[in-house]
Amino acid sequence: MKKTRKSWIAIMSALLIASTALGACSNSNNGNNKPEASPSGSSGESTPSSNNASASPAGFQLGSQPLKFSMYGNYDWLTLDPWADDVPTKWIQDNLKVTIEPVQSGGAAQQKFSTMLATDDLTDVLLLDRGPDVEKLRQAGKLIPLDDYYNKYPNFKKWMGDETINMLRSSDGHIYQMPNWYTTSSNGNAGYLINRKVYKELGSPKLETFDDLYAYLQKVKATYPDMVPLETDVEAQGVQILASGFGEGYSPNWPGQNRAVPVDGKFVSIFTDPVFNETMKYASKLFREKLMTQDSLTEKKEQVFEKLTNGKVAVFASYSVLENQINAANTVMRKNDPDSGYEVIWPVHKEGVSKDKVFPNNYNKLGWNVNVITTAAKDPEAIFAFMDWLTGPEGMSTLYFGPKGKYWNEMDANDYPVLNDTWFNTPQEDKDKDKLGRWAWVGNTTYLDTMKMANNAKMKPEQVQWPDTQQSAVTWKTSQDLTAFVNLMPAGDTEAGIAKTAVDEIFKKYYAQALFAKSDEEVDNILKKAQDEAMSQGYQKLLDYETEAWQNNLKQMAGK
Amino acid sequence: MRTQSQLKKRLRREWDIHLMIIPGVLLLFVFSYLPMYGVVTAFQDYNLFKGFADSPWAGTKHFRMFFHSPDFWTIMRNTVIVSLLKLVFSFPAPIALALLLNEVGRAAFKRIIQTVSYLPHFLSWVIVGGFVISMLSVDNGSINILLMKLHLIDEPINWLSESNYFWGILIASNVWKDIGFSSIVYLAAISGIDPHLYESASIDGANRFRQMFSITLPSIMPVIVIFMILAIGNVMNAGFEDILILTNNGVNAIVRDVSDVIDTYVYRIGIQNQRFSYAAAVGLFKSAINVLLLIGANRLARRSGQSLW
Amino acid sequence: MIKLSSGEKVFQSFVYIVLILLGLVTLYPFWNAIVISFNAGADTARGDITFWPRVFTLDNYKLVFEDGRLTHAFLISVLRVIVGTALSIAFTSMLAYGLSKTKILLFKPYMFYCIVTMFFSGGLIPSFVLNKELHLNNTFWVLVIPSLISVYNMIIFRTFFRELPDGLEESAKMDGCTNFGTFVRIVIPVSGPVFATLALFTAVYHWNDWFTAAIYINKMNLLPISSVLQQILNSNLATEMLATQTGGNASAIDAVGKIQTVTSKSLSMATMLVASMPIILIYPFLQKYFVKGVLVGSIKG
Repeated sequence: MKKTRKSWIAIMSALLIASTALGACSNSNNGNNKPEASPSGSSGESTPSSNNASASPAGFQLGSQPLKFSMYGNYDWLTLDPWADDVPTKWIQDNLKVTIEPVQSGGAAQQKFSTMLATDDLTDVLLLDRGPDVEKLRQAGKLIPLDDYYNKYPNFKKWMGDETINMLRSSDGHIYQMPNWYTTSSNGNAGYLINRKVYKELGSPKLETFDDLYAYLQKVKATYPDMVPLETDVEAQGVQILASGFGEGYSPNWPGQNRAVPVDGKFVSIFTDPVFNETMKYASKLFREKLMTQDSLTEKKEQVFEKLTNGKVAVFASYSVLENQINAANTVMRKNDPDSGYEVIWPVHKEGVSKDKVFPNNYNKLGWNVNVITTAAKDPEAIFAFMDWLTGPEGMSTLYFGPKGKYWNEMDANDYPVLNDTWFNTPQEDKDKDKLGRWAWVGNTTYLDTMKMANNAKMKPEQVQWPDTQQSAVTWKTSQDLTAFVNLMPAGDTEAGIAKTAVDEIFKKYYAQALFAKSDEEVDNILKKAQDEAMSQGYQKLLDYETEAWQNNLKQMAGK
Repeated sequence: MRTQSQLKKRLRREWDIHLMIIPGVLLLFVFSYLPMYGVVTAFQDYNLFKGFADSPWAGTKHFRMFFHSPDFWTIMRNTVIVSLLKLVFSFPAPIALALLLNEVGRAAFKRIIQTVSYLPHFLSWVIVGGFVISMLSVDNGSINILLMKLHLIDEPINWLSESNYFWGILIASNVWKDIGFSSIVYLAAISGIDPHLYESASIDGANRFRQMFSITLPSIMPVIVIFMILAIGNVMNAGFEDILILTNNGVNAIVRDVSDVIDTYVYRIGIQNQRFSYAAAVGLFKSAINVLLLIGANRLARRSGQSLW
Repeated sequence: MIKLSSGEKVFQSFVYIVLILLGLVTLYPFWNAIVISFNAGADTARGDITFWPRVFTLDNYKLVFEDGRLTHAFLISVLRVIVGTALSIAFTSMLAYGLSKTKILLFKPYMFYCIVTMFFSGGLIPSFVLNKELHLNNTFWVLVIPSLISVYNMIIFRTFFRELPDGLEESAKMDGCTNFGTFVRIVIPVSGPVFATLALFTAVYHWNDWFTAAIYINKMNLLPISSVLQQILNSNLATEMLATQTGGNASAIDAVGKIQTVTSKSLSMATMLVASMPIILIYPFLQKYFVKGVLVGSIKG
């Protein structure tokens, strides 16, 4: 007994020694070789677009041969659904012979992405944010230029429009990205929601200016002590929505994202901006007088929804007032009492600011994020051809309404699927089993939105979903095009990026303090302190960077 | 000559002890020492595409940036204070629990409490944070409702946005979450105590309460001392997830002056922005301090007869 | 039973009261999580779910269990816990026993060598490169082998080993046992509590760890249960995220008429419970190793 145990130990140790020795040398060799090896390895593939284009002038025919590629989505919260696990992608696999192998972030997107880059283990397709990461990949020569493909395949080009295509161009003049949820029309879900019942009970007063709002909130507080007069959503984001009413064309993005305000062709400090100053004073007053939620900085989305669901909120200011849970709450409330529920009101404005120039919403034509094809891909053209199909009417209809022949048999003159009786007669529960609407990572907003509007136009008013009515009545009308302001985010490890991080932190700190301020003077002092601290942390570099990026965008949009 | 034969003698006596140590040593060599070349990032401007060999050298730039950052002293102060508070409160709590559990005669009751008290360890900080935040909120938070009903306060307190309460809330949640799990190792130590010690003590007339201090506690002291040394060598790691969650991912910046510690700072400034070298430099700084503290603690502990080496 | 004096009775009641309070305080949030996992998501959104479900449903669990990958992932996790814990405890305890002998040659260098690894690490990328070179990536073994030695656990082990009475080992030596023989035949049998404790710690680590799999494993069929449950949760979250991120374009989702009955909160409670229940249930079974007097019996026997 003792003997066998001992020999086992000996074997284990021997194995370990062997593996250590192997590991030691192979590792150090590779550590040295890697950097030289990878560029030479990829240089052979650096111009595959031209090669492929000449090889197959007719383009790639989907289904003509099997296409298999891997895809990674660079978000912690993102799990790409298993391929062919739902009806649409199963159909795609069976009929177009396309298979996507998802590689998951597993909740550690950034680390995973780093290891992929460091060891050159890229997937064929990456789904990620526009900006620094894409640019780094491009500079390292890891991306396939898609210019030729854009000209060869119809859908992206048709649905995106030239301006958007120009905006996607990198500084070397090539296009490497395929956008997701791009659009040509305005949209957005930001604004103010009011509790209809409370509003009616308080005599439906005028709610147009900030003075009206202030008076109304006071009334709410006096009449309903256990109610939150103004709910500003998590991170007090609603305060940024308020800002849009204090200046014409003033976007919540200036404080919310850019931490700077565009004035006369240049970005200037948010902390010295009079509109922001006035907003903070107003918000601080509301907070001080308990007219706004006291949990504004600590609450989580779940608590916000809880208050809304229970009808405990009189006015809700948020970037997203039409979310599923709010829709559900509204539906339930109205079922019990037709006069209750929520309604989006026209954004509040300051006396003297034109109400038609208040834009809590914005959109940019590039949409949300992008897909890129890496040098790891064996047949980039085939991948592009598939993505192009997917973003077109056929692809979008297949993803959202299933393959042709099930819920629809033909398309109308506008390329919208004509839904058949099966669609209308199949109970929702059964439709859920088809798992429609997954894998829309080259989402075509223009197509889907215009289709929805066309469908709604055919319906009776009471059949139209509540969020849709609110969108067409208010939120989409109060949205401005900020395409010129995309990609203003500097890379994290550059001087401007370091300044951006520092300013973000300074902003958060003094935003919180200003909200908690005891008087208007204190707000002034806090913003002054923020300004001084930001300047000492390289704020000017960030402002310069943002100005330059903005001006570049303007040039690019003009196609220069 | 003589030393050589001594060495031989020693080796003959202890060769198989070394054989037991060597597999561990080799595993550590492969999986800890081989990758350790990564620490050079702290002295580089590390670039993922260039790798460790070709990234440009930066000397001590990142260290200097950290030392000169405007928040450096606030962060250091908070790190040390939070760690000390954890040493004073979170550290002894599981020991106390183990001692109390040891006084329980009924085995079933003991087992139930043991199991129940270790449950919170399995709740993630996100879930724990959800509870704490909703309990302490101003709108409809149960603590405020309770205090109002008891007429202890006139209007709700904004617990999480008051700097004065932050450390208390942080430590309390920590104690609550890990008291049961951490007590297990002390229970293990207690079960190694010779029952005869208790028998002779009670013959001498010592009651249960006295026995706790005269027998149980001294018997598990070696384990306590070792854990204490390890905890002191961990002072620069004052916490991360707990603080991040309780400050709502840093949104609740109103308490930042007391909540920001090294790890939350590095997360915001370095890791989120892919400034690998900066994060590595701060990490190295932390480790250096921790090692010094560990050596100091070990030296002190040696006087009590317990030490790591 | 020995009769208790009145002072001791007071002390005993104090102990029981404190422990009952602690039990309630630690149980409640867990119980609440269970209740929420059995309550309809839309109703949970109204808040104030406390001791009992208001609208009972199994939908949350249905969503978790209908995922076909779950059984397989569960088996991977069980395998990982068994293999990982057994090997890790074997190697770590052996190292610890060796290092509990402070008089041996090279003791201090060994000890420093181990402790250094607790403080300094090369970071994720060198480890990734190493595992890639060793062909561990995308295999089951990457979940087990790199974490075989835990220096922290080693220190706990050796603290316990050092507390063993000297006579114990000396008598074994007299009987002609080698050091290794002493360890296996004498030390291990009397060290039940510390082995049980550290086996539990290691098992919990292996069961809960999702990061290793996230980084080193791309193959779906090797993912442990923590990763798969996270994916189920995330794909639900993604739907909500998509709605927010795409602004009004979430319309695409409304277009299919999908209304969420299971919210991410109710689902997260269900997944959390499914994920942690199996490992939680280990502890009560290990508690039998925490009995007093193992040591004494062995010396006398």
